[in-house]
Amino acid sequence: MNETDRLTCKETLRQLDDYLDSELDERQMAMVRRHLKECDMCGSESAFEESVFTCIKEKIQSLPLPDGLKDRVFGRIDELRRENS
Amino acid sequence: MTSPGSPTADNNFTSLLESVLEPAYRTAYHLTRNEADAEELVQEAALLAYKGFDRFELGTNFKGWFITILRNRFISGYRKKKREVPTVELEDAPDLYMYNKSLASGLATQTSEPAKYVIERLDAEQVADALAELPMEFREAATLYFTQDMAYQKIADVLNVPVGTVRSRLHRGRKLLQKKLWSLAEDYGLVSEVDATEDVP
Ligand SMILES: [Zn+2]
Repeated sequence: MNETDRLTCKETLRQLDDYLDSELDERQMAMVRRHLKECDMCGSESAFEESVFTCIKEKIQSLPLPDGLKDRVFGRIDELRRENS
Repeated sequence: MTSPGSPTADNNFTSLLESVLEPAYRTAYHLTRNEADAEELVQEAALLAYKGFDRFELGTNFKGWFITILRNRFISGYRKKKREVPTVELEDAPDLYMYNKSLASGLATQTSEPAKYVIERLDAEQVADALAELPMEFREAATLYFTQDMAYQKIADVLNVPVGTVRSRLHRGRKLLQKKLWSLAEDYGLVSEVDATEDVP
């Protein structure tokens, strides 16, 4: 990687969400990764954003599933199956 | 060629549906914000998927196919219920909202993981409410993102919009969500309120 591949803080911030979601191409991923390693400010912003998304995901996925959901769903399908046969 | 109702098709369908039922319920719950409606939505989607299983190409992404059915079902019901949607000026939130707030409020000096500190102390239902308060187009994309761990392209396929649209909705939706979560944290006294420094004369 050469000097023209260096990103500014502003360019890094603009691509941060995509970077954290691994939605950039390989070259862009490497450029952002490099900037985050070299720049304390962007590095700490990135760690913070990553933590926000991970924590929200955990909360959102922590809600319990109702008991017997599977049985009731397949029960409805069995009913339909019997009606059709 | 398998048709719905044939033993092979039924076995395939049963195991495929079983594998996606839990994440599908999570998505349904966050879209409907109600356990009974979420279960009804999952059941309706399951019946539609069963009836249309001959249109599913085995070996392709069943989860995406099923979630698309579920989302379309939700949207048609939602449109029926909410005939006129008032056009509101969309609020916006700046980049790195929680990060800057946690610096300004001093939280960042009190704990090494300020984001975790705030979000862990909020109730899961409060976080779900904040997500549900987003305008529908942001809410849908963010719900799929947070409940399904889907890539942008997969979300775009479900919502039937270009991937760039998903990207911008997700970015904007998540910024708005940060703003809402921070204001919840302020309301509950988890963090101290900061006056906007820009307003200082
Ligand atoms: Zn930087």
